[in-house]
Amino acid sequence: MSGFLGPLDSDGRIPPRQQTRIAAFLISAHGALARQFAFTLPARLDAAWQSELNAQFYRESEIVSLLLRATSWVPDLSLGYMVASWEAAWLPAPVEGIADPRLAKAVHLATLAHAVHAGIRPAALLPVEANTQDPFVMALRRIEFESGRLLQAQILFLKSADLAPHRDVVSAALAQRHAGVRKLWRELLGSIGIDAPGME
Amino acid sequence: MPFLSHGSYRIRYELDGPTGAPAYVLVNGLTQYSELWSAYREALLARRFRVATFDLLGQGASDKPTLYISQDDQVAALRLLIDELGDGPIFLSGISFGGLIALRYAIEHGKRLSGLVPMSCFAELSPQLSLLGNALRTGLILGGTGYLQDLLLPMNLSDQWLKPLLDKLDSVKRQGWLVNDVYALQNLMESFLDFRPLTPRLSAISVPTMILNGEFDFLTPRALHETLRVEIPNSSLVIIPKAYHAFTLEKGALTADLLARFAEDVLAGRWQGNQAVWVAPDEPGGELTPFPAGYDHLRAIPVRRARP
Repeated sequence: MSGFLGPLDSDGRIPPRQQTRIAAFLISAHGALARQFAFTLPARLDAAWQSELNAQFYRESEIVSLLLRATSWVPDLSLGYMVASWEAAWLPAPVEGIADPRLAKAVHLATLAHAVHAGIRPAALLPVEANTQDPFVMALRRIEFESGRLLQAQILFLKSADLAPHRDVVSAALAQRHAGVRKLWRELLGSIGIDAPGME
Repeated sequence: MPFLSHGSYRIRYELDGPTGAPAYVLVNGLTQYSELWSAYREALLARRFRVATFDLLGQGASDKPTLYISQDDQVAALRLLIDELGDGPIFLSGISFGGLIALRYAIEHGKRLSGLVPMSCFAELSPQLSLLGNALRTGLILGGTGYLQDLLLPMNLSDQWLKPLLDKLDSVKRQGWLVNDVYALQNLMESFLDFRPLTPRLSAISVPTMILNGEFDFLTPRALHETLRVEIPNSSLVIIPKAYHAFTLEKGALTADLLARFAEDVLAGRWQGNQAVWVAPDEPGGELTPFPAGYDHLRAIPVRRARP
């Protein structure tokens, strides 16, 4: 097994089956975030920080749109059950130790987004020889770069004074989310012959 | 790949060399990973030292806490590693952020050490360093690890080192970019948000201490090392000629030689700190020369030191 996508074709492109599975996973994760940000976004903003919700919603949607168009899709029968298991994992999970349901919901969304933006590094899978002019290669780089920026909103919220009394609870929930998301990501990579860090 | 356990976290380390031999423990800078010490490993093993390196929490193959990384935990991880080394002499060295962690260890557990070598190091955040740190953090946030590397490379390395690599800098940066994550680097940087200066505690360090500072270190200039020299009783300051902050990368053979000679001098009872100021040779094996008497080593031009 390799730590990188490939073997590349003669034009330096990623095999379509790997593209299909990677893109399906990222669309599932970022699509779930887009939906959850959309449900959280009020029709009319009444606080300055909510402008960030608007930005997050559109950035997540952009990632989904980009992948739909940049991927060389091939039929993949296994995707049915894989997508079902991914979608189940993104569902809101209770955050033990935070009684306020609105705050708990916000922590759920922020921890999920943090885990996806911080824990999933698709560009790190690209071998040096990958064709930089290929749209899928560019998409993976762009998604990783944007994720680093999107992550800042989650970091600010999760480290905010509002959550300071719940620091241990938030840290535990975030660590759990990271572990869950990384497990799915590793399993996906294993299914396409990629030996991701932490697979031992 | 062996790991130590600190609470729920795993710390990747590497240990080579004969059991019972004097050991060097090398602590990474903030954006580094332990493989960057490979040349030191070979050089020090050849001088019959044991060598221990590790990835700090948040780096490389060690666990990367998701939201907070405490410097206390880094010191605890270092203590675990040193506890693995048995009862032989231990020499501890670290660069930049790693030097700070080494200083903290020496303050808290100095009796376990035979010698200390802080490199490109600081005990407090001067206004310049604090503002530079904030700007580097903003660079990381806005541009990712690659942009942080773009800022650090020209700041911390010489033209002579950079020039032959200009058309392959991406490959120079790639491994650091692969193994270090934005959120983890950010957590490491934000471990300074509640930082308290170590200066009032430096006098507790009683072990022989050789402070290494690059002649042209822009990020942590001479004045920050001077604090260490003045406050640590059994210390001396060694200025590495024509070197910048990351001289451990650029002048590995010279630095490894200085580390080995320091430890050999300490073990042979030849070491005398005297809070002296020295100039390192240009090449490994060369003689250290005393900084010219009467001149101010804090200046870049030859200005006579003000009489007290």
